[in-house]
Amino acid sequence: MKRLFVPLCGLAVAAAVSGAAPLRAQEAPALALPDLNFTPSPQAAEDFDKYFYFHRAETDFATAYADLQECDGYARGLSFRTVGGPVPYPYAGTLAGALGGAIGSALADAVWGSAERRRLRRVNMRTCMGFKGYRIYGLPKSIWEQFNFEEGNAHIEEGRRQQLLQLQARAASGPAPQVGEITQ
Amino acid sequence: MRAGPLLAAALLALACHAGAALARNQLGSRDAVVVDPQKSYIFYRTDQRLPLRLLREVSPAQRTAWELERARGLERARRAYPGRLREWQRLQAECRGSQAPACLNRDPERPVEPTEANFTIPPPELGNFLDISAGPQFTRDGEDYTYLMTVDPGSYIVYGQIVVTSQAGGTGICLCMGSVRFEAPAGRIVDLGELRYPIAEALAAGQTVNPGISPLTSHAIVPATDAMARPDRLAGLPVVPAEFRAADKMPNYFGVQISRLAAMPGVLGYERDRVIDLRTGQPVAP
Repeated sequence: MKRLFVPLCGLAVAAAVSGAAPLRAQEAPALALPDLNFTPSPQAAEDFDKYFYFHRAETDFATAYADLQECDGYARGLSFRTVGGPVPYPYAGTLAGALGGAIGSALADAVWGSAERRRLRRVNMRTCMGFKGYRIYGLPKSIWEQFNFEEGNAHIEEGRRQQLLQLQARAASGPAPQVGEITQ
Repeated sequence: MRAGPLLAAALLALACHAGAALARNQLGSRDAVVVDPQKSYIFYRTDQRLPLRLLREVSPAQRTAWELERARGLERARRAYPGRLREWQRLQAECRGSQAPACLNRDPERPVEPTEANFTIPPPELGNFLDISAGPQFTRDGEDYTYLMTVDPGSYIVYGQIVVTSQAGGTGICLCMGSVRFEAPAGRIVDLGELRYPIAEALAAGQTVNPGISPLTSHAIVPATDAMARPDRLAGLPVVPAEFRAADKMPNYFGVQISRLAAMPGVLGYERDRVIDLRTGQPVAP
């Protein structure tokens, strides 16, 4: 996103031109989803708060992808209801986006710490997907990192982000998980 | 995953926020209440000293002005685009292998041509947020507080509790996934009822709140009833109970933690994440 900064209300808000268009569901490349089966262990379960994915029964890929995009938008502090297409302009120009992403700004990192920001992303994704009726399943980190991402000190490139969200949508709309459900 | 530390950090930051700019409109325990017929007033009870952020709905005139501003901005950006592109191309050509500061600082991304679809400016809602600060309180009785705020008449949506600084961005909680709106008429004191904090109450009771699994929400409103006491200083004044209506999802303008207002019987419900107007039984129109 390109920004043309102008002062307003004492904050650096901006006009912006978005150059990134999220992939549509029908444009999904053939990406491989890792095998999500694993043997549960107490060690793996200790990190289920960080490494998890979503699943909802009777949900198709396009619906899951749209839901994940919407929740990703909330987690980025940018948007809502993206419905599988480019972020519509009334929601792309939010204050957080104009600030460079309040969630993702370097200054916010200095104050709150990037670890806290990563945690906020997890909280928002879980809250949003939970309201949508998805269940949450833990994974060992070695499997999780093959189709997920965290946002720490750097933003993930938009195309890569959408590819990973599509993989997460495949998991969310795929066969019912056999292990790892987080229930409390 | 536990919400406690994050929520505590957010609440701490919020409690430290003075909100001085609007304090003069927020009546304290020693302020006389004189109803200005050109103004409206918002009143509520709570057992937490926390700020509340409201969003006054954008008027048609504001929307029109914003659309005009955006159109002008787009036109300026379109006029500037060829020059920006030429400059980018020049630096691309001249900077191959160069370590000159101008080259090191150049934008690596090719400028994007501004279009109707991709050009944005800050939304018109930006100027319509209103904060009721943690203090002053209108009354305080132990841990029970009331707040009274002078506002411009209009339609308001309960947005959440937010603090934005130029250093740290935003912190707080938005009711981005469902809330309520209400009218604040001129010459009236609108009684919102009681504002509650279900997640904070659960945490205070020693319960764990796991995001995405716990159904609890950050905020709840119990609408005003005759059984709810009002401060003596409001006696004889034109106090009316708020007439709430369901409000649809809102953008996370400030990049904060998200939640939604707890369901309200007869007013606000949810089918998964769809916001339902319980007066009609239908989803709220975007």
